[in-house]
Amino acid sequence: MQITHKSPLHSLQDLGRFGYSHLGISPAGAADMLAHCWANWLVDNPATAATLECPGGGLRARFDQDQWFSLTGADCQARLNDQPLLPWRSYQARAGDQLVLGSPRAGQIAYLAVHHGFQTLLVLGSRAWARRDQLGEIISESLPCHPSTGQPKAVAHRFIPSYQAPLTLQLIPSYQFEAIQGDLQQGFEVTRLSDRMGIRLKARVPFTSAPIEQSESIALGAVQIPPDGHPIVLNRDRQSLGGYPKLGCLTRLSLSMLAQQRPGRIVGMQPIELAQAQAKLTQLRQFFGEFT
Amino acid sequence: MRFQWVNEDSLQVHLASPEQVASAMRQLRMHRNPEIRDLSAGFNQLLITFARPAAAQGLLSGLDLSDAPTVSPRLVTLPVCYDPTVAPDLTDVAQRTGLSVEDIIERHCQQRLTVVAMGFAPGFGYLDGLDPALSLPRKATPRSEVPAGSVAIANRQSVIYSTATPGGWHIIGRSPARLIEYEPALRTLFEIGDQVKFEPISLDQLNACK
Repeated sequence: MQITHKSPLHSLQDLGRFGYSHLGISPAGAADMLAHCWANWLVDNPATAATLECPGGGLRARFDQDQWFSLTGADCQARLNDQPLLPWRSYQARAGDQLVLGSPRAGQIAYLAVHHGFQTLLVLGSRAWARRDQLGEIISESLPCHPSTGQPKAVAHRFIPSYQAPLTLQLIPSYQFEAIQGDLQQGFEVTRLSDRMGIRLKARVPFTSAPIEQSESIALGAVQIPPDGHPIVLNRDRQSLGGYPKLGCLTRLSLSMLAQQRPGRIVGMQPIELAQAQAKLTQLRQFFGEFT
Repeated sequence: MRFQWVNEDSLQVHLASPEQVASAMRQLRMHRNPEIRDLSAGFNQLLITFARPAAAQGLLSGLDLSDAPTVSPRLVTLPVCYDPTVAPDLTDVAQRTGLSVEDIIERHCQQRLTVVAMGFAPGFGYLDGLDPALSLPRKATPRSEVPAGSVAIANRQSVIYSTATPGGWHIIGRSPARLIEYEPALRTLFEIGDQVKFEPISLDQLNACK
């Protein structure tokens, strides 16, 4: 596939680079794991296949061979030649077809998958691009993939997330939750200072907490409270160790939904029972084969 | 041993000492258990990410955390050049500690340090056990860029910066050692539980390594 226009934020992502955190290597992986997994599901790929993560849309590509492909995540008013395409569906492209992704109508990140997945080199078992660690291949003008044909599929309407609906993030209280003072039920504004490493929220009334004595391991979705009291939710490119107190972690699904929220959006937060969150993750892993 | 699920599939385990952390890490990594997706450790705790959270109980009950270390730690010797051209904070450290530059170098090289945590960047480790006479708090204002290979100290710890990053530690030298290599196989200079000793080299020796 020939990439004729891209942004520096576009990257190939998969489930991530696991088994190296003890050496200080971030797992990376799709910022919105749910949309990544559905994109693969739509072209009969395992969830481990690499997809093209496109924050802000703005992609132009030309298929140089027949290709069964899918789009999920943010609706970027995509077109195949002149035909408008809806996301959360897969399509058959012919050699020479042009794919254009515009700006997101809702949400922030679009995912593009091809049958068999993009065939860049595996680096430590993953194709995920980790910017800070400089691991994984940077996308070039030509993305290697195998020709493919397949029947168009669609994600059932009830499973398609709405990025505009009011969002309440589910928090698994853990780490220093008991020692942090503040109101979980207040609204939090998603700020511009957000990326694949962390999503900064602005609290109406900042949290307060005593500093912690020593740095500790940071789990996926951890909600850090730095000295200014405004939460930072840590995502895929996070550092493996950190020294700020933490409220706990967002559930995997809440983290996916948060990654799609635009700056300025107000989101809520509520605690969830661990067993309930674990049951949900198990269900996702059973459906997608794997899910992180 | 005290533990807590911090998210759906990641369990934080608090241990009593860096030796226990090193021993637990060795045991957890020994059998390439498919139930363990990822491990991170440091500063008397570790984080285990499970493929199936239900597998945690069996895994933890199998850990032997008796105090006697099962393996004697590996000793890694690392060359460091303390030439003022690559040690911008050396004279400042001398002033603040009241030690001579020679004394600082000697004390930095004398002690065997223990790798108590890894993280922050690929291959980056926190080396604990620095001579108390060298102990200084971190700088109030971090440098905007610390050159790769810089050897720095703060409190009772020493670190080597792998890539040019901002940093708040006092830079007292530079090492030609590469913290991580990916080819032909993944290899880091040290791992949690290893012991590290520094060895002084000249500026010529440092430059010859480039």
